[in-house]
Amino acid sequence: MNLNDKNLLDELVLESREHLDNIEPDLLTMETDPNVPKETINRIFRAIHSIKGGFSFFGMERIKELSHAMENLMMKIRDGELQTTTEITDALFSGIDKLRIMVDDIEGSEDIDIANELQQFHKLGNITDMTAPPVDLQKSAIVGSETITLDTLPLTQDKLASIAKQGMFIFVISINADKDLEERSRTPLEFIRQLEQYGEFLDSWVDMSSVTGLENCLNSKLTFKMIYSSVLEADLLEAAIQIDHEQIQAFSKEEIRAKAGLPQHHKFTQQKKAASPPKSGTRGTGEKTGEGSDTIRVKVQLLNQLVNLAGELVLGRNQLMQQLRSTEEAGVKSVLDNIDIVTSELQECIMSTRMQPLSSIFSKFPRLIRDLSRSLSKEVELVLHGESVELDKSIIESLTDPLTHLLRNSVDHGIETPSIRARQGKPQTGKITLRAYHEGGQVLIEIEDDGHGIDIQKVKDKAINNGILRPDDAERMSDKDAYNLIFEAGFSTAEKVTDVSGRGVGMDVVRTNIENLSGSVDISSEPGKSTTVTLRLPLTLAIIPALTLECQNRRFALPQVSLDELVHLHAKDASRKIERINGSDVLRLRDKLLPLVRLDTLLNLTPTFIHPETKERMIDKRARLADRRQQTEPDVESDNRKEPSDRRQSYASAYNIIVLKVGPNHFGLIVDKLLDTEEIVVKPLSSFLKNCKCYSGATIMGDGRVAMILDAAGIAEMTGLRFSDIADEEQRQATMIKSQSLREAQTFLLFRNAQAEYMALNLSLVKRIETTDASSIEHIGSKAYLKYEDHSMRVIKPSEFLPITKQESSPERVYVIVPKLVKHPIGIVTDVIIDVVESTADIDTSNISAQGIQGSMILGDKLVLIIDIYSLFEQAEPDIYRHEDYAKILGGKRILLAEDTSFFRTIEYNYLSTVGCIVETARNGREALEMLKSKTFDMVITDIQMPEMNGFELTNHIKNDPALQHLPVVALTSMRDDNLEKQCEESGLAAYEIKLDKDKLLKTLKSIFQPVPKGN
Amino acid sequence: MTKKKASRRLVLDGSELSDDDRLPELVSGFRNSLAESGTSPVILNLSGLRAIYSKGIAVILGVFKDCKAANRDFSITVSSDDTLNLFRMLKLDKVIEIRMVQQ
Repeated sequence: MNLNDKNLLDELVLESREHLDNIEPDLLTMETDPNVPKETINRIFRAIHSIKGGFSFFGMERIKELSHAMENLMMKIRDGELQTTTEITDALFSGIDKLRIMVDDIEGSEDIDIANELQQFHKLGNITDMTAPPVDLQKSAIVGSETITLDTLPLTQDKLASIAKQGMFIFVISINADKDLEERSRTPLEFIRQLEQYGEFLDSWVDMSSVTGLENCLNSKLTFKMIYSSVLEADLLEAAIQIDHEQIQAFSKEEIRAKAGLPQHHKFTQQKKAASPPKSGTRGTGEKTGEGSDTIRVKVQLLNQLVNLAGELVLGRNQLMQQLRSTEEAGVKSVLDNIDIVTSELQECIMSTRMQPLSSIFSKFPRLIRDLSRSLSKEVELVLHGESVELDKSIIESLTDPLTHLLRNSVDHGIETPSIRARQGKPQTGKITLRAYHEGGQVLIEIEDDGHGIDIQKVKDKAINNGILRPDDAERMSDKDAYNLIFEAGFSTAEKVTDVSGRGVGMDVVRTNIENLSGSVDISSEPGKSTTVTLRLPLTLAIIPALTLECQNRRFALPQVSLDELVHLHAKDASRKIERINGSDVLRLRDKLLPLVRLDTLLNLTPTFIHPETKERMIDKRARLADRRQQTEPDVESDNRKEPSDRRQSYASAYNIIVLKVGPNHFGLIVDKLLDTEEIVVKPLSSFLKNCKCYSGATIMGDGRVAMILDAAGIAEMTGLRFSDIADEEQRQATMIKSQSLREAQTFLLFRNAQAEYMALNLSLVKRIETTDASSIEHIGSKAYLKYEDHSMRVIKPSEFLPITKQESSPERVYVIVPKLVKHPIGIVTDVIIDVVESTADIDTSNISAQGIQGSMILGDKLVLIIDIYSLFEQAEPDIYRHEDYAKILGGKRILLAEDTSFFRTIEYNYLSTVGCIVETARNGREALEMLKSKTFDMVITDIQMPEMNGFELTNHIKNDPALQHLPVVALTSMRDDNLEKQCEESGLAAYEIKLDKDKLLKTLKSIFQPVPKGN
Repeated sequence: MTKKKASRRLVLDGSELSDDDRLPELVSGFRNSLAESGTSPVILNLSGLRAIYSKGIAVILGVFKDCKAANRDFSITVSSDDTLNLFRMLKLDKVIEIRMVQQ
C-alpha cells in the first residue's frame, strides 16, 4: 500500500466513523417512530452503502460482507417487505457496533468473527444469499447485440477519475419498455428518478430502431439504454431497481481506474506500519469532492502546532507591548496596536479551529440510554439541548467518560421503574435532560432527571458507615454539602451493585476529571422529584484570560474563570470586617462570611509589609489579620492615630482580597498587589512541580519572567478550608436574625392630652376612633356618656384615673377611642390623635408603674405610657371589670407562659397575675420544655410563632411525653384564621385564644380548670 | 383528436398520449390525419401532457418515422419541463425539433 492509499484508508476510516455515528440516531428514530420518513431509512441505507463501497475498494471482505447483509435488510424495510421490529433494530445496532470495532481496528478487521451477526440478518431478512456476489467485472458489457466498452461511453477522463475516487461502479442498463416500465406502471422519468436515489445518472438513449412507424409502434419492443454510476453492486442494483441481472452491464473499479489513468489499487495487506503524518500545509485527503464544499479535514496534530504557535505569538506580542509601550517614536504605537489586534484575532481564529460542537458526544447518548433503560427494564426518554454549544476538542474528548457515568447514574439510581413511577403519579417514562449552555464565559452542562431525587439522610448514613463523615458533623451539615458527599471516593448509595453503576467508584473520578479540566461539578436534588448535576467548564485550556498579581515580590496568574470579585479592604476596616471562626479569619462580605487565605502564608513566604514612611520592607509579625485592631474599636472622631505613619491609613496596607469560587463555595485570597488582566498561554508544569496542588500550570509574562498559575480548587484543598464551619456560623447568625424578625412588631395608637403627655394603646384593642363635639358628651353624676350606635356609652378621660396631668379645659372637638376585646366598652376621650406607630421595643415596667398603666416605652423619640385598658376600666367600672370569680378558680394555679415577644409576655403575665395565677415565663418552646422537665405546672399557655421551637412543636413534645401529656396547653394567637384553627384542633391543644382578650382568656382557663358538669 | 389548420401545417393533439387505453384509437387517428394532409409539416402538440409512458414514446417515434419516410417536417411542442428533460435525456432532441411553449 502506498502512502496515497494509506491516506485514503485513514480518510475512509474517519468518514466511516462519522457514518456509524450518524446511523445511530436514525436507527433510534426508525425504532420509535412508526411513521419514520422514508428519507431517514434511505439515509441509513446510503451510509451503510458508503461504508461497504469504501472498504470493498480496499478489499476488506469482512466489512463488506457485514455491511452488505445490513444493506439487504434495510432494502427490505425500505421496500415495505419487512416491518421494523425491536429485533431488527437490535440486530442493526449490533451490526453497527461490530462495524465500529472493525473500523477502529482496520488491520485486524479480517480476523473479527461476524458469523453471529450474519446469521441474525439472514434469519430476519430470510436472505438466501448473504454474500455479495462477485460481478464479472473484467469482461466488457454485451447488451443485446450491441457491444459497449468504456471507450464507447460518452464519459470524460475527469468524470471517470471522479467516479473511481468515489469507489463507484459504472453500469449500462438495458431497459425493456414493456416488461420493466409498462408492466410496472412506471414512466421512464420515474425510473430515472429512482436510479438517482442510489447513484448518479450519467447518460441514456432510446433504441429507435425498434420502431419503424406508426403502424407497429404499439407492438414494438422499445428499449432504453442508461449509463449509471453507483456504489451499489450489481446484485443490489438489480434489487433496487427491479431489473434482471442480464440487463445490467457493470464495469469494474479497476477498469474505470485504468481508463481514468489512475494507478491501480492493491489489496490492503495487514501492515502494522504507523501512518506517516502529512507535511504541514498539505491538503487533507478527505477534501469533499462535491461542488461548493466549504470544509476540509486537517490533522489534529497540525492544529495543535498552530495553537502552540499562536501561544508563542501571543507571548511575543505581550513582550513587544511591554518593551515598546512607552516609546515616543512616531508611528510605533499605531503599528503596535495593529499587531495587538491582529494577534488577538489570529489567536481567536486558531483557537476556534479546535472548537467542536457538543453534538459530537451528545449524539452517542440516545443509544446509551436506550440500551441501559432496556437492560434495567425502565422507560427513559433523553432530551438534548444545546448540542451546538462548542468546546475545545481536548475538553470534549475528556467529557465523554464523565457524562456517560452521570447518565448511567441517572438511569440506574435516579429514574424509577415504570410501576413505581405509576404509583407515584408520575409518567411511566422517565425523562433525562442533557442541556448545555453558555454562562459567564463558561459552558454549563446539566444532567437532570425526574427520578426520586437523593435521600439526604441515606447519603449521610452511608458516609458515616464508610467513615467519610462523623455523626456530629452529619447533623450540622448543610444539604448542599451532604449532596457533595456523593463525590467522595468509595461512596455509593445504591442498594445493590449492578452492571451499570453502584460500585462506589466513579463519581469521585467524575469530579477529578472535571477538575482536571479546570471545571467544577455541583449537584442538587429535590427529594421525590429530581436530581441535577451541573458541570462548569472553561471554553478552552490553551490560552486563557487571567488576572496577574503579586505576592511577596513574586508574580502569579489566576484564571479568570475562578474569579468572582475583587475586594479592596482598607486596613482600618479590618478589625470590623474580619472575624475569627474556629481559628480562621473570615471576612464579612454583604452578610456572608468569606474564609480568608493569605497567599504568602500558604506558600511559606514570610509575610512582609512596606513601611509607609521609610518605604522599607518589614516583617509582618501579626498572627492574625486583625491583630492590634480588635481590642478597642477606634472612635473615628477621636482617633488620633491618623498620622501618615499609621499603617492603617496607608493605601499600601490595604488588603487586596480576590474572591475565588470553588464549586458552590467561595473563599478570599489575600495578595499584595493586583497587576493586570491578560491572556496567558498555559504551559504544563514540570514533573517536579506536579504535586503542588496550588498550581495548575505556568506561563511566561510579557517581560519574560515565569509566573505560576494558581489553582483555586487546589488552594482550597491545601488550606483545608472547612466551608461547613462557615455555613454553620452563617446558619447560626441567620437563626439569630430570624429570631429577631420573629419578634412580633406591635402597632400602637399614639395619642396625647393637651399637656403633651403621650399615651399609647395597642391597636388590636381599638375598635374605632370617633370625633365628636365636646358638648355632646353628657354627664350623669360623676360619669360621662356619649350617644354611640343607638345607645349610650360610658366615656372616660385617662387623666381621671391615671397619674397624669388633669386637663383644665377641653377643646371643642375631641376624639373618642372605642375599644374592643372588652366585655363592656368604655370610650377613651383624648384631645389629639398623633399617629399609628409600629415597634418591637420592650415595655419598661420598672420606671413608671400605676394602675391602668402597663409601663412605658420610647416610641420615636417620645416617652409614651402604655395603657392597660382592663386595669383602667376596672377603676372606672369596678363592678363590671373585677375578676373575683376567676380568682377563685385560677388563684394559685401554676402557669407556664411561653411567649417570645416581651410586650405580650408582660401583658399576659399581668392578666394572669391579677387573678392570682403563679406565672413563670419562657422565651420560646425549647426553654419552656426545659422548664417543664424540672418544675411542676398546672397549665401551659404558649404563643404559636416562636424561634427555636414554636407552639405546635412544644405541644407535640408535651403530648408525646407520658409525664407531661396530662397538662392542658392553651395557645394564644394574634389573629384567627381557618387554617390555624384547624391546625390548633389537630395538635392536641386544649384551647386557643386571641392575644390581649383578657376576658376570653380567663373564661377559657376557668372552663378548663372547672369544667361545667355534664347535664348542665 | 386531430385537426387541420387553415395554414398548411398538420397539428396532432398528443394530450392523450399518456392514456394507454386510448392509444390504439389515437394512433389510428394520427395515421388518417397524416394520410389526408399530404406533405404539410407536422406538429405533435404535447403541451397538455404531464407524464408520458414508454408506449407514448413509441407513438412519438412512430409519427417521427412516418414523417421521415414521407419527407415531411416534424416537430414537437411541449410545455412541461419534465417532458422536455426526458426527451433530452433520451437524446430525442438530437433528431426531433422540440419546442417549449407556454401553456
